[in-house]
Amino acid sequence: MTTVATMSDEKARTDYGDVLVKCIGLTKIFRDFWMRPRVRAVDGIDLEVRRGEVFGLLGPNGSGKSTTIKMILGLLQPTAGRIAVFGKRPDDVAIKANIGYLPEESYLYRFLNARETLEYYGRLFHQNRLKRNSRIDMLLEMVGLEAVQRRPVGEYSKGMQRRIGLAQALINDPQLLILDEPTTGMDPIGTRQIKDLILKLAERGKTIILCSHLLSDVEDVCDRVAIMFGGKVRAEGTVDELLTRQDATTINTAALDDATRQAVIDLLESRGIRVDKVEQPRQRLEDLFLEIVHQAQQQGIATSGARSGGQIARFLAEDDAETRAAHLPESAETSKLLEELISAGAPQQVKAPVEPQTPAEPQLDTSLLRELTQAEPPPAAPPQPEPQSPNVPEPDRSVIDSLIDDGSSDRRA
Amino acid sequence: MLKQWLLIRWVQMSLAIVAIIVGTGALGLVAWWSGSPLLAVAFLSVGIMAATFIVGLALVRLILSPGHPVLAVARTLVDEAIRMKVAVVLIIVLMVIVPFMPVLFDPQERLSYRLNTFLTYSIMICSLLLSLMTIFLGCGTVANDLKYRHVFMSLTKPIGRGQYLLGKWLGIALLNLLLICVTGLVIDGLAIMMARYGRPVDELDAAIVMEEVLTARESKLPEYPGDLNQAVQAEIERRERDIPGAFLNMTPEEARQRVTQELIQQWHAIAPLNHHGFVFRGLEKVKERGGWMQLRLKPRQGGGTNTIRFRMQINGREVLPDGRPMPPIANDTYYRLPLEASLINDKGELHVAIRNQHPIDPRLTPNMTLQFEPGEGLELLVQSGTFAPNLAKGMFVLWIRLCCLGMLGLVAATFLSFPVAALFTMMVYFAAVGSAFISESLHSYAAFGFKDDVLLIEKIGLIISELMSKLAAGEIGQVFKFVLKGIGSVFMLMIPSFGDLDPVPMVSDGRVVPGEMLWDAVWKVGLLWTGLAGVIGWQIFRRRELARVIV
Repeated sequence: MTTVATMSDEKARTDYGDVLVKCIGLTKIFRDFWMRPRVRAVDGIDLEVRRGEVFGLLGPNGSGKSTTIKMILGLLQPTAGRIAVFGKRPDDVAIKANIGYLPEESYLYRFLNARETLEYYGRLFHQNRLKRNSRIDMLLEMVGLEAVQRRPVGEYSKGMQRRIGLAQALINDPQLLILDEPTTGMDPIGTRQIKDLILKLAERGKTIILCSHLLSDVEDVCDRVAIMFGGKVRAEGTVDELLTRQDATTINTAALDDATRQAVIDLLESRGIRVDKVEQPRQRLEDLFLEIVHQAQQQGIATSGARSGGQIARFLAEDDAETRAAHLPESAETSKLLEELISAGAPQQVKAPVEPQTPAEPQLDTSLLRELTQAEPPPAAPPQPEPQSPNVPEPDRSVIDSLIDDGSSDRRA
Repeated sequence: MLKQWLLIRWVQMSLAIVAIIVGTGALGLVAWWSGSPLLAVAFLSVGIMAATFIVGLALVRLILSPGHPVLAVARTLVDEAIRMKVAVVLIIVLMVIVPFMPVLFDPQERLSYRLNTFLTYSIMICSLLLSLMTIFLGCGTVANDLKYRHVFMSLTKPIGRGQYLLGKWLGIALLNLLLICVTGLVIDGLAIMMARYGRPVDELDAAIVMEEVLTARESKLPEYPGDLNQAVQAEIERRERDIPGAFLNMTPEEARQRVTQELIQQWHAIAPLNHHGFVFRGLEKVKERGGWMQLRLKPRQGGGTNTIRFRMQINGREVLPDGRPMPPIANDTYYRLPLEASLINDKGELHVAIRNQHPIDPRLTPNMTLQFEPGEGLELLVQSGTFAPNLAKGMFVLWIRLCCLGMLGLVAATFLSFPVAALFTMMVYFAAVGSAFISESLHSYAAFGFKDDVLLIEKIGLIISELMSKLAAGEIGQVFKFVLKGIGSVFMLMIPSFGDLDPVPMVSDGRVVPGEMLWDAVWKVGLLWTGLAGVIGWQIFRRRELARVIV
């Protein structure tokens, strides 16, 4: 039987501040037909997701990630513990206006086509026709389904369904985006696009909860991570905190000839430092794959599936206070509370590239990234990692930028 | 691009309509040239029905297009319905059966009978098919949303669970409204075509079609001769004086009701070689309007006789204009006697005298009382409206029933899987349709030894004490019957009563659908039952864990 489900409003308001999602002692026990407790899916976890961060919920299958997400969304009621989302109970309809959710599978109406699907979800957000159509056009272009938007969703491949699922999660330009296994069924291009999208949304102050068991996905994009197993949080912290090894150092240089290499080894050994391994770095398979697909696209080879997708939808890139305020809950007290949040300043970003005061125009970011990636790499990078941007693989982003901005940068110029 | 697409869509719709009309029109022409005008009309009706449905559907989708969550859910339900095989099949069957029904009748049959049968069966089939569609759609849409987890996407948006159910119900209600309107229009059109182009057997047949079928008549009952209240009071006093304990265990009101009923029955019972007079009053407007009335009789006589002979005079004249005696009438069967409105006297009265006597030879009169059931056994039907508005009223009552059924289906699916919810809703539907019959059956199946009008608490106490006494007496069979009756009674208490809200016999019989029926439909079924079911469904649904896993 369900006991205490959520924290009281008063308590939630007190704790709200910069914390969009807060779970205290959250527990979920699934019962059998006779109501006997059978599975303790989530076992007394405490979580905080702060405004503007990409929070990764990591764990193997059955570790309780999705159950936690569903309790945050009000689809499940906690057996014990408390949850506050935007300082309110998860079953409060008003908070849903600020949330975008992509479940572990895209549970779409098979009889609707892509456009009708997005129209349906747009209407659920009270969007008028003009706003709806404009956003749908941008989202369809972004997820690369513009050309197949009249086909029933039931005829889509799983990856295409994930793309339309992603588009519906973004149709309200959410402040909090919850992605449950977003790259499931996606090809490497789609996977990369989603990761890139997450980074871009995070740069614009959106809060994202990423639930995945794909370690590389989480490592690439998340600021903070909680690792779950057996319904409990086993480790929690920034990616840096969790991954940086204190007992080893890696030095990246241009290719060294044998003599120079031996000299470096000798130097290190003369100082009593043991060299474990010296090797030539390899390109990542993901990068190679993307390069090949990019070349094929440039040659104009046709495909009946999803296209690569375009740049991030314009409305998602808007980050002015007016737009943000338009997405906030209506009630006076909540508005006041959130106003306080907004006026408290820009989100406390963990990642270095995030500049809250910077005008939120994707062109600027893209050009900045391009400049960064086109610059000659320093001959010998400093051994210590960037303290605030440990998990942003800049060269990778340049590849995807050049893919998704195919030609558009020229137009912008 | 969107505008282009919308343009293409409207062009597509227009082309589809033109194609349907041209296609069915061509088939109709072939049928016409082949000498089957009814078949031609049927083909054309299918086309008109389909085209009207397509246009209506576009209109419904347009009405539901604004950006509101309830309308969004309703619109998606309409889209689901027209792409859901079961619903589409039922709609197509409806669109084929109704127009082709007139073709199936024997042209040698009386036109009035054919028309009456067409109206009865077309409205009944419409009601049945739409009820089935509503059950499948109502149960299917929520159950499938839960099963295939569409709710994960929908109910994580700013829409309350009550709004979600309301949207589903609105979609079902609008779709049914569209289908009811389309079917009603086609039934009306076909009935008029049958009346105009169908061949009546004789002049009387033609007159009956217009005066008794394609019309809306009101029932008038004879007024009791003298002051009924005084007569009742006098009779009560007489019995109390002459028969000690005549009203033992009865309240004064019960005694009055019983005596009133008995006096009216006595008045409708005529001893051999006696006669009784029946006066219908308040017919001034009917006389002014002119035309025809209908005297409806259902005579009954004991002794196992098949036919009944009696004499009848109207305003002092033998009933048939040429002075012929009343023909033999089948025992315990309805007999309709057409009467001209001119027979009503200047006071707006129609005097009917019935004599229990053989019209030719009084010696052949059987020594049996001639009886008429008060109410439908002896009534005068007078015109009080026209057919089309009456049909519209009847279809409106059916629509209200469908709205209630839709809500029941939705509610059932909030806690049951699709097949179980559909079976449950069907059981409720058929019980609701036959509620009057089931209640009567339950009453006669096991009668308790106390009156029905006691308070509920008192009744429960009486039932328990009666059960205990039966158990103590070892009458297990009786106890079992009482328990079954109790379960049945509770079930009947929880379902809406559609049995009293059946407009089909009225519309097909040319009788006006009374305002009380419309009021009852709106108030009891539309607001009370539908609202109650909706609130229950909402309470269940808002407590339900949508992502629940049972292990």
